[in-house]
Amino acid sequence: MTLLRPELYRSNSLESLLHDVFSNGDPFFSYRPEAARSGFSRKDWSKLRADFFEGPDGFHTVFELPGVSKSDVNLELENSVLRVSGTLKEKRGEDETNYQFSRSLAVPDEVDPSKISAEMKDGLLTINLPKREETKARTIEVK
Amino acid sequence: MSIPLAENELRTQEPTQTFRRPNYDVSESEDHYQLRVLMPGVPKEGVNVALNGRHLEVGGTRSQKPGEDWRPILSELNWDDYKLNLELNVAVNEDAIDANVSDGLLSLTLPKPEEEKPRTIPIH
Repeated sequence: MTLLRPELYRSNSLESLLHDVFSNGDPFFSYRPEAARSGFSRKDWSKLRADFFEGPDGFHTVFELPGVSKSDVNLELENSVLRVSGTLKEKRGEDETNYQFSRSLAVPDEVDPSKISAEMKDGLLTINLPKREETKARTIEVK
Repeated sequence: MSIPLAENELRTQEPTQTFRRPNYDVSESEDHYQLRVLMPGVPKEGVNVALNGRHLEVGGTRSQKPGEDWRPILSELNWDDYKLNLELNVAVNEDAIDANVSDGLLSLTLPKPEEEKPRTIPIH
C-alpha cells in the first residue's frame, strides 16, 4: 500500500491547484508559493490539445496555443508526418522561462502536401490540409 | 411590438448556453497581483472583465468556430465561450486595474493599495 501525503503529491500541478481553488469557493488568491512559481506548469504544456476535422475539400486541424506568438511556432512536414513544435516564452517580471512543446500527426494520403497552409490567430493554430483533386468525392454520372 | 405567447414559451425552452471554465493562475509581486487567463480563440474585442464589489467576472467570446461542414475526427477541444468567476480575497486598487490581451492570453494587473505595499522603515 502506498501512502501519499496529499499536499506533497499535489504540489507543482496547476490542475491540482485549480481543483483546490474550486472546492474552496474560488478565492482569487491562495497562498501557494510553489504553484505561483510554476505558472502554467510544464506538465500542462506538454499536452498540446488539438481537434481534427474532415471537410468537403480537405482536412483541418486546430491547436490551442494560448500565449504563444506566431514567430515561436514551427511546422515541419516529413514523410507524411506533420510536426507542430515551438516555444512558450513566459515572462514574469525580469525572469523568462521557456517551455518547449511539440506534437506530430499523420497526414492522410489524400492530402496534397504542397497545398498545406496554416494560420495563427488569438492563440489558435489552424492548419488546412487540402485533398488532391483526384481524391475529392464527386458524383459519377450513370449513363 | 407584441410577441405571441407561443413564441415566448418556445424561447424559454431553448437550451441555455454552456461555458468553459478557462485555466488561470494568480501570482503576487511586491506591488501588484497578476491574473493570467488562458482563452485561446478569443480576440481582444471578445474579452469582458467586470468587477462587482468583490466579485470578479471574466468572460471570453470566440471569434472563430469550426466550419459547419467539417466532420470531427478527433475532438480534444471545448469550443464553448469562456466564463470565470472569482471572489477577490485580497485588497487591490480597483481604479488602477489594467488588462492586456494577446494571443488568447488575458493578463490582468491588479495593483495593491498604497497601504498594503511593503515599506522601508527608517532607523533613526
